[in-house]
Amino acid sequence: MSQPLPPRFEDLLSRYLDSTLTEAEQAELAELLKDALLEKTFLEATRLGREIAGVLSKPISDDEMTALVDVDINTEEGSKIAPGKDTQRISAILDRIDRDRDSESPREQQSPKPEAQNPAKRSPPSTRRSRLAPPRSSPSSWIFGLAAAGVLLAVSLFFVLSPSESDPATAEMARQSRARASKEAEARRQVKQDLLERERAQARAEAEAKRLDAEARLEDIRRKQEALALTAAQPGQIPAEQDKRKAEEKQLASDKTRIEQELREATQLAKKTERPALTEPHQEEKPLSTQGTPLVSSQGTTQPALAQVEEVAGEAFVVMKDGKSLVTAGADLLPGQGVLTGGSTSRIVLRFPDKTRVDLGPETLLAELKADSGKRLALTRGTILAVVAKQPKDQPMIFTMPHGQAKVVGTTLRLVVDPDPKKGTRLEVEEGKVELKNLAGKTVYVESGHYAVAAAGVELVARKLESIPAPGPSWILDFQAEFANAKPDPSVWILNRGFPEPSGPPGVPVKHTYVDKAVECKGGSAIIHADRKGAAADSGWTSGYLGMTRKYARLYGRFEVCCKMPKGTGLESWIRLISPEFESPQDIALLVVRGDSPTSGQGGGAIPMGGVDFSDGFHIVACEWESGSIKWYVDGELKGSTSENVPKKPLAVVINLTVGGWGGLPDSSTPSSAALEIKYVRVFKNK
Amino acid sequence: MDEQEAILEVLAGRTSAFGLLVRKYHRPLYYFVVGKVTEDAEAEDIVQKTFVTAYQRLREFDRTKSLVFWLRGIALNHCRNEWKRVERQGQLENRVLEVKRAQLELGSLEESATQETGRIEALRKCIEALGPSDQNVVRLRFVEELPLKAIGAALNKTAEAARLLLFRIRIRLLGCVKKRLALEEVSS
Repeated sequence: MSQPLPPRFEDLLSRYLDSTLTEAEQAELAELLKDALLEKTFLEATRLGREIAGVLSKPISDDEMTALVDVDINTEEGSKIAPGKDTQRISAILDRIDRDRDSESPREQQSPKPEAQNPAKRSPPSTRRSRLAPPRSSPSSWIFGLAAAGVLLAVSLFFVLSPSESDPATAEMARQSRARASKEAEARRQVKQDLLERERAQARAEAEAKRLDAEARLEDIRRKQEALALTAAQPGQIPAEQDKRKAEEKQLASDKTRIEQELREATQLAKKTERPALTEPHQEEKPLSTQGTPLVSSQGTTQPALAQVEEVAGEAFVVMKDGKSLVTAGADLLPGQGVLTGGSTSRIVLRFPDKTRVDLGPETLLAELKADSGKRLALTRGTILAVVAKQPKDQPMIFTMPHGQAKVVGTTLRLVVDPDPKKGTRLEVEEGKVELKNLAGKTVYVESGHYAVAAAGVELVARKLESIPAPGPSWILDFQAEFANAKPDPSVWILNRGFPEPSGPPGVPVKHTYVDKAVECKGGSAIIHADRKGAAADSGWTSGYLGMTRKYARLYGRFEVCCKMPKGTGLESWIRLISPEFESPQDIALLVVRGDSPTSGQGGGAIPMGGVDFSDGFHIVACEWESGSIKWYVDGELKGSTSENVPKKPLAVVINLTVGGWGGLPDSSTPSSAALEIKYVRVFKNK
Repeated sequence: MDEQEAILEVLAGRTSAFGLLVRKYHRPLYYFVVGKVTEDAEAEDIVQKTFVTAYQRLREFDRTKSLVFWLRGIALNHCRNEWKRVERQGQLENRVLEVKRAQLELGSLEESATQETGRIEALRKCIEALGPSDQNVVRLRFVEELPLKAIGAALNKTAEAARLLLFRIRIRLLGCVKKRLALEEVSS
């Protein structure tokens, strides 16, 4: 470097290159980049890493690139294999396998000439790298065309030259040509078979994962039905409980029928994919992995263990095609096998030969492990924490989930898979970088300290992982509700449940009606919209109401809400803890803010929560509810406490935005549309 | 069969000839794009896409001009699309530096396209000229892709010391590449 760089720039640049900059430092570096020289150095330095990696790594071979491009330019089926359409994709693969099996009959093997003359009949394979639409009319596969042309050439040479094969030189030429053509054809056949085998195996794994998932869900239903049967046998049930039990039984029966149908379909699909794809000649040649280790055959006589079970806690099983059996520490896991953990105390730790460690949490199904150009793990549901050792560049470790795929070269990551497609798969990366692809085919790189969610209707973006600091030494996080989906998670929140409404003082009517559509999630926040229905100031309004389900009701704890309240006469924002079914009249007002004075909120009976403008940005309001006392906080500052009327029943968070009533009537100054925004709700429990 | 014949063969429908072009150009293209992609692992994908686009648009290629420059142009377009994606994602996530980096890359793609041929070769020589211990650090970081902590542990240093060492090597390599390119320009 001809000119010394400012030390601060060097420091920031160096740490940027190694991903250790804080957000403030990133902003500082961005500011420094206004200098043209520094900007140029920044660009060169960021490029350098990629260039070094490019110089030092070995690019793929001519043959591999040729095969990959060939597949792309010839895969007309590619458009059929639409991401997100598993069944169609599997069917398309199966169709292609069937066609290929047909087209690879011994007769055709012996006589490739008609294929070369009418190459449109050939259905070429596809690879995971294939991304582009098929080209203009280009029916022939030039790889196979080349092979066929080679054979044709050899045959032609044979006939042309055979009369004079008495000439040793000519005969040798003919022999060499035939040998070369045969070798080329064989090499291409091998590439094609290898690709087909990979896809077939992937389709089988997906079908297997679905089958196992359906079995596990049926098992859950069986358990629940047994539990209900026990309840039914208990004497002295009140009619309301009996009705509830019957409704649950009905729902379970309906779920069971649906899942049994899914199981039948998945079993059929799994069986179909089990048919050996390579029944053609050359079957004695087992496909080789890139490391030259024999892959497992369906007969599987020599199957090297892929991983070992290092630790087991609680219930844990190894799952196979024909069922499952209990597993203990030290057991080897073979290709095609998977593992399943039981209830809340269950856990399995797997260790791979390269020291990669995969830790499965409770109720987790890792349906299948495979070695196919790298480790392949089909994660159907549950949670895993993986510390992945550096993988060979061309053999990444791939986790396949129902909602997408995560490609890992070497990192520490956490995957949480929910069977519900709307919740999807959440990937958290502690260290390194992971490529996450959703079913729509969109890809995002998730770097250390970030997370992304692959789920139906959720935008695939990497977001910064916010570490959740405990608010004090006596608290630990119990749960957190976030708003990553388009609508609040229905297993956590109920919209407009009809809880008793704060009615308002005499003569000041409530102007709003709650509607579900008033609540949406955007930019990671839940937004409750209050909208005036008409142009007149005294028109009616629509608004929204968010209440946590019974499951999230807690007796005591620290309840924390990050929120921004709307401004405007007649609007009032409420955050309360109330009984989930309103069994108890006791509640705790966490914060109530009138829109006409957003700097003077109230908590509890009359705890002043002022000092901040709740409409100018997000603020964290909290209450610490313990036996005999409640304390209120705003942005960490204690605002007040009480030891009177402290509720003694579990309460859940409820948030709503009212118009009229206690907030006063709206007037002409009230905006016709207002929003109460919630970034998160966190509940901590006492250690 | 030479390059022109191969093109004519492909245009005449004998697509097997396209393999010749792939074999001839995929490595030069790889080294051309490796510094311009968003991730070094993306380089091969970009090359693959480039050939597919070239195949699809071969009729549009002016055969009086250089095929390699045409292929580079296609590759640059693919790189540009990737950087635009990074820029959009950065804007969405409010990552100022990522946006800035993407904008800088987008602004310099054209310029760098004309001066890249010797750069990778110069870098290779510069890496070879590093001492064995520095080469080891480079390998650990860029081939093994180890985190700083692991590199530090391998070198018996702290992660911070490993970071500083790595940065000094980077700066030295940048200087070395510049010097070599300048010398080559003078000698040519």
